[in-house]
Amino acid sequence: MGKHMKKGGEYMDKKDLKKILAGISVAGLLTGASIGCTPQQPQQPAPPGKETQKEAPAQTQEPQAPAKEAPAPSS
Amino acid sequence: MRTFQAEEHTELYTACRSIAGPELWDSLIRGRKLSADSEPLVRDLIQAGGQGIPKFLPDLARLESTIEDVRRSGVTIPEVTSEICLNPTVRLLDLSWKNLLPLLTQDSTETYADPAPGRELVLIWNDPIGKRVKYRAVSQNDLLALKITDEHISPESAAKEGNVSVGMIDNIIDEAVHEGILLSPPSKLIRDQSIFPLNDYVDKSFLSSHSFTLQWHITQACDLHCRHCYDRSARSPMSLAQGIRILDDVRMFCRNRHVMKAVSFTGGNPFLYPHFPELYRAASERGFSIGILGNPTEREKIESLIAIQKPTHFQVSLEGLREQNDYIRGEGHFDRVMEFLKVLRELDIFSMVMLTLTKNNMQEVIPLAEVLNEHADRFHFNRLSMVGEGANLMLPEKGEYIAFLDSYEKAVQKYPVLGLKDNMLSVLSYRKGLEPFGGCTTFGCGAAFNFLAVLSDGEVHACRKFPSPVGNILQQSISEIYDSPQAQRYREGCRACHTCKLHAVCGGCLAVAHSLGLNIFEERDPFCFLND
Repeated sequence: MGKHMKKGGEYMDKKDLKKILAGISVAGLLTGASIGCTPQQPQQPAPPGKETQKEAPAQTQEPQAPAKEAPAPSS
Repeated sequence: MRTFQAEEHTELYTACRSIAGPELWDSLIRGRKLSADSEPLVRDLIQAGGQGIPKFLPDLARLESTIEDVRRSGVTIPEVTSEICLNPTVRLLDLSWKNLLPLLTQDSTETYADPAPGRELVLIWNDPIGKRVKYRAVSQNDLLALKITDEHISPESAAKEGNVSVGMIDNIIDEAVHEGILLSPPSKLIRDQSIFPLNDYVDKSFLSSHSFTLQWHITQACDLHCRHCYDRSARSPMSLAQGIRILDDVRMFCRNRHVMKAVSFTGGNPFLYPHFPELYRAASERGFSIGILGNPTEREKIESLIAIQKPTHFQVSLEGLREQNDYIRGEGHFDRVMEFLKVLRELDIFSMVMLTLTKNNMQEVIPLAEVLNEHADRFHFNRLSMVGEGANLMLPEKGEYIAFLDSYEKAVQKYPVLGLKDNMLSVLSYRKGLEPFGGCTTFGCGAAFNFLAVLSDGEVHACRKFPSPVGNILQQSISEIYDSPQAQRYREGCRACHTCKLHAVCGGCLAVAHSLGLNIFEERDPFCFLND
């Protein structure tokens, strides 16, 4: 294992991942000028029989129960 | 070369087989030596294009094969890392067809775009927490998180290069960690197991906080004058520049301790701090989750904050039904709160109502819950701290309080708005054989553990409800204050609780013990009934 599939029928390894990352700029990613990716796309649900799953939203987004970690209030 | 069993082969290419048709698909793979390497099959599929199979089928085969390959890969995900790093199972699959992912779900209830020619990068990885394979069309944020981490670019540098706030970069990294694309070192906000014992009731999730909250009383100014106000003393407000330095300091503290960062702006009335909008924006630009604990205010002011960043919650206070509340908080306050709750609901802001429990309003809690059930998202109480003007009011007797807790716990089933917070509810839960809920701050008493309270003049307290000074943030860093012996002492709680099996989810209330004149570092909350 450890080999990653690559466009054109070959395998992609870690070096290829680095190559893709090196080929794009931080500024390009932040302005949406990069290639082959989407602005923000929800993860796909699991295909039947495969161990893939959606996940709960990140804590940074909208905590459902903010009180749980909020300290005592002032009065 | 690894081989699969024939039936596994069929299972692996479920979507391909379904789209090509079982008969055609089976003929295409007949006689083929099954392999983890899908490329020979992909080449044959390309050559078989004339047989009427969709042109995207070779890429779909690549996709299904790679997902399976990640699932079966023996790549070990380290349980602990010393810095944020890439999940070693991450793969980026470069496809020449878009919109293939929906074909894997076969969900007839959803409508998806048809496959179309065009480049699409798909991210596939093993989630270290859920222990499952995840995949999605890679987003710009995913790539940014991977690039920043792989190339050791600081969030500050990335923010500068992209001309965005550093908080935006922080949040992108945090999200990638949450998704399992990146691995983060464990939180450094951890309980001392020698005095917060693990046992059959309390597991290790209660010993490590993944977030830190700064409860920031940015002003003493208040439009109310409540009868139980803890602190009416004159304290000078800090300048905006000082406030921004605090936010920078707390951001770095949270980054170094590997925890999410949150700030709860309060007062007094935080809207009376002259630089509140600017400070709020500065917190947003540094990636803080922001909550507000305050008084009812104008809709327009809330809308202007939402335009910057929606607060995670807005907490207001009520002290009972209209008559009792207005006696404590002033004429007309009850009606203003009820109107304000409507505004919060219209603005889709999580609304919370807090009640300070006294002998005189205890019997109004459940009737108030009935009123609030349709108007607020959460309602809970904290026992009175008899400090400041609160010393003029009375706590209930222990016996009547325990009876109240019992009725409260039953009412929770009837009124979903009721929340569990007071640490004595942890004792009740344990005695009733219920699961632990975490008490006051999810970690029992979280004083100087997962939160600190900062006053308008920079004074820092372990808990706002009673005098518990641990430093001054205008003279010391938050890290220095957090690690100080004074903070450590409050964090450990009272010695009488050190051997209690509920310590990590309870610890009583130091402010109540203080109110009744006890030595809070030695004597437990006098309302504790665990061993009664």
